[in-house]
Amino acid sequence: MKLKIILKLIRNLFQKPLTVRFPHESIPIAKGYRGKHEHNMDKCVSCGLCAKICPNKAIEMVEVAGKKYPKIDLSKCCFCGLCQDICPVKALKLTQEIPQATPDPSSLIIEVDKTKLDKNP
Amino acid sequence: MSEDNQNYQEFFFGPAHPGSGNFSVKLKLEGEKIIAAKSIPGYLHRGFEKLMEYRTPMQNAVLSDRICVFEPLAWNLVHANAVEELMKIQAPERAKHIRVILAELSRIQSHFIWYGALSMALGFDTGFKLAFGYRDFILDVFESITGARVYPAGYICPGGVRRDLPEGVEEKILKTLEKIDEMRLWEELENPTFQARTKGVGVLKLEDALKLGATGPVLRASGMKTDVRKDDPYELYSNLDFDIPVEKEGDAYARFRIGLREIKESVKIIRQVLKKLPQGEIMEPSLANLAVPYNLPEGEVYVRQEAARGEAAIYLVSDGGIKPYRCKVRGPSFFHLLPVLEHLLQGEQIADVPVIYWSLNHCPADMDR
Repeated sequence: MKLKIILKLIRNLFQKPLTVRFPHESIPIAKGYRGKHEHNMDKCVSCGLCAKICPNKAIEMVEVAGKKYPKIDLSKCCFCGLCQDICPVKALKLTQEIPQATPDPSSLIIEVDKTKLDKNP
Repeated sequence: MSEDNQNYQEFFFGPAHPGSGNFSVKLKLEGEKIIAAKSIPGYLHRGFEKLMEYRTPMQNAVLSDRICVFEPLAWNLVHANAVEELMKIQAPERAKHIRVILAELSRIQSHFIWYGALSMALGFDTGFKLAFGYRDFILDVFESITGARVYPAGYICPGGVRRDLPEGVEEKILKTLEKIDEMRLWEELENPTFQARTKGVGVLKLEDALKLGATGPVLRASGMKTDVRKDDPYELYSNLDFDIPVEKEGDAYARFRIGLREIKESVKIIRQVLKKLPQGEIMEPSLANLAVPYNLPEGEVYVRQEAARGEAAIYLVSDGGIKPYRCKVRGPSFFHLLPVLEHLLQGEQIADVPVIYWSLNHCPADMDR
């Protein structure tokens, strides 16, 4: 038993560390990670199911150009992904992007992108 | 000094103590000796029982993560089983297998935290770093299966599990199990300092343990052979081959040994389940569409399961609506931190407080709920 541990210790001396130098390189995030939302406005049918199921009431339906779209407050969001699962047209999707800490709370709100609407009337 | 001119001092252990974590004990000291201890709960009360009355079962599954910080998946499973028993449905076979794998991995990582914290209480930092380092391999598995490292967000939900296993995760789990075996090798290296600090400290006799409501590893370390997985089997546990470790001494060292041996049994369970993992559905079809709300039939259930720190249970009452009428959460740590800790601290030295406190494998979050 103890011999095994000593052997392991010697092997560890010549191994690379498990940690990485973070800002320069990072450990890849898993494929199914639940991060920041991505909203495809062209697909959205304004059913409001995402706002209904959200356990933290982080989604609010706002009216833009006569149609209702979800406005997501990431500071309230618990990243459960229920909105993604319930969406009948797969317009809402969680990406692998992790919201970073910020001094500006308004940057955590995913507003409805009006410029996109103008291009596709 | 007290009013009645007695020679004792009052001393607070926590809640700001780095080793106590959102919990406080008021100690009455005579020199170095503790003559009385009073637990002060409530620093982490979030009111889950009331919150659950305002949410549908699927939203409650997300909420049930937060009951215990250290093992969210175990509480997911208790909640999911309570709803399923109320609705008289069964999860599909594949979902059941995935649930058992995750529940056992969750038990192992919770025991790793226990060792880390116990070593930290002793000033044995090597143990702490080893335990938390190896725990990260399990968190990597959780990340690829559930989508987050710690909180699975209701991955185990009423009716099954929320998504299928990603490709190649079976090999990843097997590799992690090898790492866990390696970790056990390190922990079995009997450290004389560790033994001197834990042997004979905080002895809990069997009759006291039964009287004060201890469950799980604490009760098994006192010499009682009991485990909800064997006594009242749920999911797949009746078909699985595993032993229940029992120790007789009832001291902090016995509790440490119980945890080590339980990790070994959990690894055995995961290997068995992975071997016979079937293909097929992962969600009960009648509950699969989240957009269709379902009613909870009128009635009440009490579901108990073996979490890493003892018997975890949920009592659910429904009046036929889409939300539960009442939900009661029975956390194992409540009994370990209030009556058991107060009983164990009497007559001990003040230097042994962190050891006894952490050897009980508690979580203030599931005590305060």
